[in-house]
Amino acid sequence: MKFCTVKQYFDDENNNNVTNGIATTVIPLPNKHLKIKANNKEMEQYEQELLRNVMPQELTKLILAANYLNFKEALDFFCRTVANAIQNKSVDYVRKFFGLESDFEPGEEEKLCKEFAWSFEGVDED
Amino acid sequence: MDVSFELKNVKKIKFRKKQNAIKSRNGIDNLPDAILEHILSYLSTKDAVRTSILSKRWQYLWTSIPKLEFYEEEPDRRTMLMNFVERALALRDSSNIKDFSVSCDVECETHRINSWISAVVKHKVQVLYLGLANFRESLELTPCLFKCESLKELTLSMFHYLELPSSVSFPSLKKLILIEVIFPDDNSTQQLFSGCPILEELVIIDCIWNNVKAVCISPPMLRFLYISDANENKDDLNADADGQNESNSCQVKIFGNSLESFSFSGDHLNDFCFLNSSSVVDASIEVFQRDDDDFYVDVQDAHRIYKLLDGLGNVEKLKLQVSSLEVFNYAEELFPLLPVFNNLTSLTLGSGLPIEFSRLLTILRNSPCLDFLELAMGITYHGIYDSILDRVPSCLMTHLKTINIFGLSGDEKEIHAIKILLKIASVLKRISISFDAFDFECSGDIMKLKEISAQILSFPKGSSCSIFFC
Repeated sequence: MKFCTVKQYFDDENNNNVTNGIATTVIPLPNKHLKIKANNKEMEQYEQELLRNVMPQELTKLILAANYLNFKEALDFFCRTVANAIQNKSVDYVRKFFGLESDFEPGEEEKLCKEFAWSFEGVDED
Repeated sequence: MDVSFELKNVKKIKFRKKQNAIKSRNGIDNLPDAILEHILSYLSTKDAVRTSILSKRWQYLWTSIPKLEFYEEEPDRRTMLMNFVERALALRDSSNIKDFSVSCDVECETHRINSWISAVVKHKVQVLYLGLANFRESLELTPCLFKCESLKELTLSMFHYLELPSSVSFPSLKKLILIEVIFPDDNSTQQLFSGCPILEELVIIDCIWNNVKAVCISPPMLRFLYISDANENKDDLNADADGQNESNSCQVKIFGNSLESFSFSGDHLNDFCFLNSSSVVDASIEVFQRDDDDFYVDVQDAHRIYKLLDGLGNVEKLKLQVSSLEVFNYAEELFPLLPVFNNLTSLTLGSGLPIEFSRLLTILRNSPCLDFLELAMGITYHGIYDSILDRVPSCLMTHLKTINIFGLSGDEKEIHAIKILLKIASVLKRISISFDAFDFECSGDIMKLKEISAQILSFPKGSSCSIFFC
């Protein structure tokens, strides 16, 4: 069923979610995944490589592609990669990583920090 | 108005709008909620909650992640943690909480713990971990916990009496882990074990059985039972009690209709009694050295080990490590009653002292299909040298392919035992011999080690096995 969706995808010209470049990364994944499924260390290395070479925006596209292709293992893998990238990082770091801007009123942020004080302890230095 | 100025501005605004549009089209915000929540589910609860500050869109995304975990060791941060747990639970949407773990000091806040438990039970929790320490007031866990229909896995770690309600019902519970819990009395303890009809795994670590005389473990689908009993605190409790030394006179009847794996590890052996344990394939019994070498208790342990072994006749893999006591010597009269292990293929024996050769042969005679033998504390020989061997165990001639012997000290009796073994094991493929390095280094005799190794290599072999020294 994976490959049916792929064909359908390529036929679907109006698809803005995935460019060819992404497709070449996502589609070879099944093989790679099967090969290194058993070896967690290699998976970690692959993940590091991915993070180094791929910008967060690209990672977003990869996630969307995997989601569209209904490719659960790839989706899980990319989501986990994103999660690992922002683990224990400060809010500013995460904002920069995702390219987000705060749309809170002044003071609202401080309120939230206070509300969830325990979770703001022990964060990595930027 | 300067038209060209206006045009320039409009262009600028259009350009910026386009840039922002591109940014947001490619940015993480473009992902649907469900995917963002999926990403959050891989983060620790701390990290996930912090995303609430990223932007308004993210403010409540974390409230539906299925797993919540709160671990805090620092006593000063305890109150902060407790407040946090409460906020997290209050902000929760109606979605189920799949996995809830909390580990912290309790002090006097038992009502707060109970309110959390009630909340997660309402949210149909499936996996619950409670690691509670430092009680300044007594804790009676809320009764709704013991009627939770959604619970599949429960871990209770608390050095505290486990007060139970009059009825316990865990219709979905498959795995129960109890750590350092003090069982209150026979009835309640029995209620607990009987209230888990589909239980598959039961793990009891360092719990206190002092107040229980007899209990029955009989969940019909129980596959895995692990009991460990090395609680340092229990000796204090013993002293408080009426000075009895029988801290483990609790009789535990096990109906092991589906039981596949049994493991006991501790310094006091309960009085186990298997009723139907023909399905057990993997068993491990480890009884450690106690500080007080009480002869009476040692004999009692020896009897209990025999009783256990009697119910384990069908095992395929058996590990028997009994420090400090020569099980097979203390209860000599029982030794001939050792069952025959028709399916046993792997046997590991360890004791405070090396196993005596003739005893080993008796065990081997009772294990006709043995393929793998490991002796963790060496071997010795008490018989008359060069006595003729009658009734060589059949497994040595048909099945035994691998032997590992550890902890040799190099004395004559040991070497003699190995010599005979090499001669009579006719299908042996590999034997590994490991000296007690400490022993030899102390006496500074590396040369002697080399001599002994050479001697062993020169012995006649009844097989074409390879000999390895480690």
